[in-house]
Amino acid sequence: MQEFVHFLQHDVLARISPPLGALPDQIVLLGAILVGAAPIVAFMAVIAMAWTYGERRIAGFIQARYGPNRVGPEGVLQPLADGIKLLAKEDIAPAGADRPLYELAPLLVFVGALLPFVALPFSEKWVISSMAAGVFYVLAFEAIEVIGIIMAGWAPNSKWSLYGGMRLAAQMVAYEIPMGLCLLTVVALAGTLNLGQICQMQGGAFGVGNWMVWPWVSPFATLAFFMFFVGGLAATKRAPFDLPEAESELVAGFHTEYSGIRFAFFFMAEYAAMYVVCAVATVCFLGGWHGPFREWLAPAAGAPTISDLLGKAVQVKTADGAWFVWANLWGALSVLGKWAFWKPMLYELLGAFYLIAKSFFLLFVMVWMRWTLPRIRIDQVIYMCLKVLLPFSLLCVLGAAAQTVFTDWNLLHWLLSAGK
Amino acid sequence: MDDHPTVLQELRERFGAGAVSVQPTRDGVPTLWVSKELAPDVLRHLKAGVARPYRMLYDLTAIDERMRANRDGQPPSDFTVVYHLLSFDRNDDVRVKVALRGDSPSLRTITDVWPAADWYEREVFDMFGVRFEGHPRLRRILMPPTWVGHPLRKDHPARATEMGPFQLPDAKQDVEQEALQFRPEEWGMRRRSETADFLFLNLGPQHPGTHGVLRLILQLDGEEIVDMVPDIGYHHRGAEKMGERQTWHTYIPYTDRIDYLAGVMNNLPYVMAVEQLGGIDAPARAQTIRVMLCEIFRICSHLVWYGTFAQDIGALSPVFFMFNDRERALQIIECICGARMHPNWFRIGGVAQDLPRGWDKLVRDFLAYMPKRLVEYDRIVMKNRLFQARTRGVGAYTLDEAIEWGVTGPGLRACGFEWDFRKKRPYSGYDQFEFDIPTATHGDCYDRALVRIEEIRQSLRIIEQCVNHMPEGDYKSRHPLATPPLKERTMRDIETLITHFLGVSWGPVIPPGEGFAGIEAPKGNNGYYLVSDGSTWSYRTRIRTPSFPHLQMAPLICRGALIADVLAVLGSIDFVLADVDR
Amino acid sequence: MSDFFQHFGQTVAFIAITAVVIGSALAATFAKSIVHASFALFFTLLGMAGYYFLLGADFLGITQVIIYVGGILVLLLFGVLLTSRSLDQLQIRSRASYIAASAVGLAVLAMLWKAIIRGPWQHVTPVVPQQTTQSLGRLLLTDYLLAFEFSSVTLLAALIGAAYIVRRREK
Repeated sequence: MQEFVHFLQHDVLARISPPLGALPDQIVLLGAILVGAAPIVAFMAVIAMAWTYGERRIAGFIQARYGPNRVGPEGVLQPLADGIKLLAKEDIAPAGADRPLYELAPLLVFVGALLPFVALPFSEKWVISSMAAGVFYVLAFEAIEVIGIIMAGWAPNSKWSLYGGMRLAAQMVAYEIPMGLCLLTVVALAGTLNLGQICQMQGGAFGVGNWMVWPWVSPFATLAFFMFFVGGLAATKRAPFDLPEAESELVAGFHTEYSGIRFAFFFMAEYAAMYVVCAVATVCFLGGWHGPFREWLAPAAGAPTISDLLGKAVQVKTADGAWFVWANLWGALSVLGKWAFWKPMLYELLGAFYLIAKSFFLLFVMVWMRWTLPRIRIDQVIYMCLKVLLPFSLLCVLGAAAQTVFTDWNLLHWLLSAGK
Repeated sequence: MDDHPTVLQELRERFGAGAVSVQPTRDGVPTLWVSKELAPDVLRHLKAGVARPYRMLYDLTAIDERMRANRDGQPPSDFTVVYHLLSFDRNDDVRVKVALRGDSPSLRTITDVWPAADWYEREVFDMFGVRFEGHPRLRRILMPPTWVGHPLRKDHPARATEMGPFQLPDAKQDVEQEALQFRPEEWGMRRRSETADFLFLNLGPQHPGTHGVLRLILQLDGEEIVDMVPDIGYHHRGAEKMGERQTWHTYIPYTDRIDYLAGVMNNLPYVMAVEQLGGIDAPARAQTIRVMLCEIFRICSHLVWYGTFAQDIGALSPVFFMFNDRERALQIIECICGARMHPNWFRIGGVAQDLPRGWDKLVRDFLAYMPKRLVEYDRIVMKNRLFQARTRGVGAYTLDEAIEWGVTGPGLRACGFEWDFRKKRPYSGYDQFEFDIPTATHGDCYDRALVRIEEIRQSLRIIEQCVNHMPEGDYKSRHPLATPPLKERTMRDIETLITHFLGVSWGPVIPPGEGFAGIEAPKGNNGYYLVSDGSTWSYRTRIRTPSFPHLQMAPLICRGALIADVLAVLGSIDFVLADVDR
Repeated sequence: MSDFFQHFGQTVAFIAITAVVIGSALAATFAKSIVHASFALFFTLLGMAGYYFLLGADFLGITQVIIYVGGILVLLLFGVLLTSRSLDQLQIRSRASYIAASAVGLAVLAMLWKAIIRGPWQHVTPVVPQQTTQSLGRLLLTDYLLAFEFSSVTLLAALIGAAYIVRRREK
């Protein structure tokens, strides 16, 4: 955090205009947060919108029908139309609703879905806060969403909502444990809680050799990956774990009584939460930003960083006055014309592409499962968690711990080096 | 027939010669009159006392006899309560009638003999105002609690225009609102036990999982069902009352709407019963057309059930595939009948028109297409592990329970009992066809599903035989009561023209008598009990539908289960609310 | 100047968090419905996590969220919602309970006050500890192993006890 503020102060602002560089830390940080939060909210909204469209088109394909294909080419603008519709809809609250809680709940759910993005890397360098306890943080802040949903279950004074909220609480609290243990398996192997570091070590041959999910890296992580995904389905209340909103049973579960934009918040939060689970799975098990051909773009040792380039381009440091500000701005823009600037940029972009593509593949699997599988029953949900996932995830943690102690986090490495 | 004593002999032996009198009917079912004091004992004896007992209460209804002219030799009666029992051992029925006098008649309940009598007696009370002494909760069942009068009495108006304009002043609205208040005690439920306060959940009448306007009151302890009470009647349209107003011929379209998924399957028992009363024999071609259309509709009905059942379990996609296939089946129906869901195609004495040119190709295409689809559906639904986990062992009942509660059709066969009207009492030429009766063993949701899916395959077999062996000849009987008569001679001779004219303008006059015809409908045994008083319309039309007893049984198998199971059970019962409420 | 803003920012954050914590704690105490009280507690607990973050103890802050918000509060709400709805209107504010609660509250305040006054306070320049997670883990498995193991065993016993209490009783 401090480094980032420092970078902004000295390498960006001060070079544009020295007085800007003298701005206090807190102001810079606040500005960065405000400027940075917008892309996150935008990214989350785009993901949610893209996947409402994607989900409906995939569902259409699976169910031998078209899905939305009227608004814009192939219906891609459907989410926009839906968004406008939801905004324009009347906001109805049941007469017996607990108004303050009723209005707070969707916001809480939305915020809860947003918070994990803070620690979630999008690429090697593109991460808002590369915090030491990133894995732990992502898990913890899902709890806020749970509270929001319990609130949404209670506030409308509807029994359907209440049942939905209760089912969700039971389900999410239960599945947090095996999910945490599955991540712990990776943490034990990697020796760090930092999402970035966990991801960084998974490069290997051709960018795919060392992914945690491969059984030759660690069979325990392979098992943990599948269990984490199952737990993720439960935590994001997706089929076959969609009991909190089971349509044929609970009408719409916890969001039965919500309409308009409040409903849209739940909707966006669901897709955001799905993306978070998939992205965490990608970072921890599927090599994150690693992928083929990315090494070719890797910056050579001693190659100038973007910051260096900026420094070189912006020569005028001492002089004052408006003219120099414009000169420096021009200098900064001229960097855009240099391959040395674009190479590291492309390197990051390709990383982001791999990470998001893999996450989207997992999201696709989630959607695919939803339109294929029936729903299981609440007792089976809990049975599955406590008697299947929990023991096996404990086994994974133990196994991974034993593996790191006796061999190496990467079994293949160990076997190869043992041969030497 | 055989050397067993007749039921009449058995009863006279037990209760004395004077206790039982006989009435001849057109359907050959022994119809015995007993006094109202003796009735429960006679019924109990028939259920448990006689050798090869009558174990199923097949139907229970009443007749308002006050306007009836032709009652030759029957005991005097204002209201007659009719019990229809079925013996599987004898493959025979018996009808027990009890004469009641006066304007507010009453007799003893038989809910202690058959629990299934509960709803039936409530219906008779609701419709006729006959009180059943000792009934645990004798309340209206189909009509709203605030209704005045008993609709199936002859003095109750049938048309809205006879009742004056509808008004809802504030005072009346208050009364109606008050009647809607939910008090658990009125439904026979307690508010709390020693350890828990129960939660009452209104599932329906508007709910995505109930397949229609059905209200289920769930008494819940957490997610566990302590008790469940179905509240029906939201779909009641007075179909039986309409039968007393329409001519024999013009009532046929109304039958389509009873089990609206089974289309012509509803026409069949009605026209069979009318033909029985009129002494008409449908020609072989008409019978085969009827069988073919019925089996296509059985497939349609089962496909709707298949898809929605999967959806109730939470699988959202199968329903699209199955509706797609049903669409193909309905296209055949459309080409033959011109309509899809309500073809109104059978006529007294035959069917409305001959098959169109090229019909066989349509049917053959469907026959070639469908089996492959069924294999795929097995893969995506029946063999799915989660689906099995949700349905195996859920909502199970034993064969004894099934018989006790009047379960017929796939629900009965899922308990391992091979009982199918098409085999046991072949009608419309079913004895000419080769097909199997699928059964299963456990009587749970999964087994009921298995039976239905196998029935689709058997129906395809039957349809194939229809296509290959469709007989030539008339599509409608040349009997003078066949309505409307065959047109070919109408313009040639005056007698046929007059008959045609009368048949269309007044409707046929069916000779007095009583008769029952039952068929194996997709959901169970569907039957029409008709009383003719020698006029152009029916004196009493009783529709015995399978969904009514099946739904009555649902609470029995839902107790102790979870909310999700209730939806699985409802889906596996395969009821249609129009079939329940009529 | 920067130093001033540094302190200023922290002070603002501290005041904001404190306002949330005290406000929601008061709401939890005086809320009419027990459900509102539980949800007010949510903000109190979250605010406590905010303090930890402010002090640079990120691991502790996250732990506060995962244990208190994700675990204990959810269980609390679960319990409240599962119990009869009549509890919502339950009179939890009888005169006796007011007096008893005030007495206990004052006693605790007095003790804290004493500790605050007597405590050997030193002014230290705040050092943001890097990598609290790693050092915490090391400490838990070395110096404080016994306490760590003891609490795990206690939790295990509680778990088994809970499973025993809720087991399906044979009828």
